[in-house]
Amino acid sequence: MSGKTIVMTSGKGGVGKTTATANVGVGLALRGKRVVVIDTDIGLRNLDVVMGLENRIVYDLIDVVEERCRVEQALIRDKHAGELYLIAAAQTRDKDCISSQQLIDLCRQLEADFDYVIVDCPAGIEQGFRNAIAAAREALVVTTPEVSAIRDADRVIGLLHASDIHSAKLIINRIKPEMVRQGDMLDASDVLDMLAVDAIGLIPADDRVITTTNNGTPVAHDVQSPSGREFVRIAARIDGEYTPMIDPVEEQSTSIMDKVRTLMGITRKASTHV
Amino acid sequence: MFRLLRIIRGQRQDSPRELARQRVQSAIRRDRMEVSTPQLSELRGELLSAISARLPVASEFAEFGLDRVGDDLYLVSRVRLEDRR
Ligand SMILES: Nc1ncnc2c1ncn2[C@@H]1O[C@H](COP(=O)(O)OP(=O)(O)OP(=O)(O)O)[C@@H](O)[C@H]1O
Ligand SMILES: [Mg+2]
Repeated sequence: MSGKTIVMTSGKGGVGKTTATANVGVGLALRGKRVVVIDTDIGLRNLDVVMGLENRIVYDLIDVVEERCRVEQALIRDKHAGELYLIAAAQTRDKDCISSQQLIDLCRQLEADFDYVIVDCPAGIEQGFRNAIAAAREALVVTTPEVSAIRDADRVIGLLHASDIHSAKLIINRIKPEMVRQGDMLDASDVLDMLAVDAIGLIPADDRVITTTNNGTPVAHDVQSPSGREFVRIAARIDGEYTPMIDPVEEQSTSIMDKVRTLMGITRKASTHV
Repeated sequence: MFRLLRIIRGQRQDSPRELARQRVQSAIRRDRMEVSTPQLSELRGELLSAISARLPVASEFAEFGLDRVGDDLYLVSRVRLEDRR
């Protein structure tokens, strides 16, 4: 097997890297892929709780690179999503205890055994970020439609270029359709124009992300939720399946129209014959 | 095209979204200049060697880049010197 290593990065903190890593991981595993997600946020690990695996950690990333255990011993298997595994970050060490080369070697080793290796990056552009992008051949950049996050995303895209990753794709997270409609928030096309990159996913702000994170079952398992559906579509796009981009602003207007039609007793099908 | 859509949707030109767009654009333009202008990095090297010919420079620039204050654009540089006390 010759897998792909993809880094999930953003520049600005708190925009949804860890959420996206867990959910894209779930989405790919639900497609039958063998996936490993690696938390490189040393000292501030979170991917384990988002996935509900915090009580299963025995060995972590640093144990692996410092050869205190074999890689297989540090792979924590997900409870729900088939062949999905986590390598947790070390919680009690500092950020600089791993080198780029160590992470590169680990990812190359994992690529032999997995279809996808997804590296969840720490916030910022320091050593942890540099390690993560050195190990990856592809990048997903997460931003929200806010001035500071977009600006930082642009900086990160520049640094990715400098590190020979030229095809970064953008995930715009926490879009609020109502605000966009009222002209109070940038819309997806604004953001994509400014950053001059392609989108791989447009995710609405969704309370289900918070409730599912609270119970440790990523939202991609919930096909009823708009964000979960989009994470599943992102996984399909990564996996090479053509899946049209759906702007949450349009999606919400359509579903509102559906409700209106239902209220008026007109089904969608009937209305097309009017 | 999108602007037209916005006008149709009845959004003002000075909407928070439009303001955000302009602010991101100007921040990005300036950032890109700082990180990628080849002339600027050439200048950085030349300045550093000119300074170190006369003063004991301790390290690389602590700060080097363009900064806008109000309407004016500044070239800002800070070099740490060796303290010979
Ligand atoms: N689409 C969304 N809708 C609502 N809440 C969200 C969404 N995406 C992320 N969040 C919430 O935002 C917070 C930050 O998300 P997350 O931890 O994934 O960001 P991060 O980029 O990994 O942060 P850090 O830079 O600190 O690692 C979390 O509480 C998460 O539940
Ligand atoms: Mg995180």
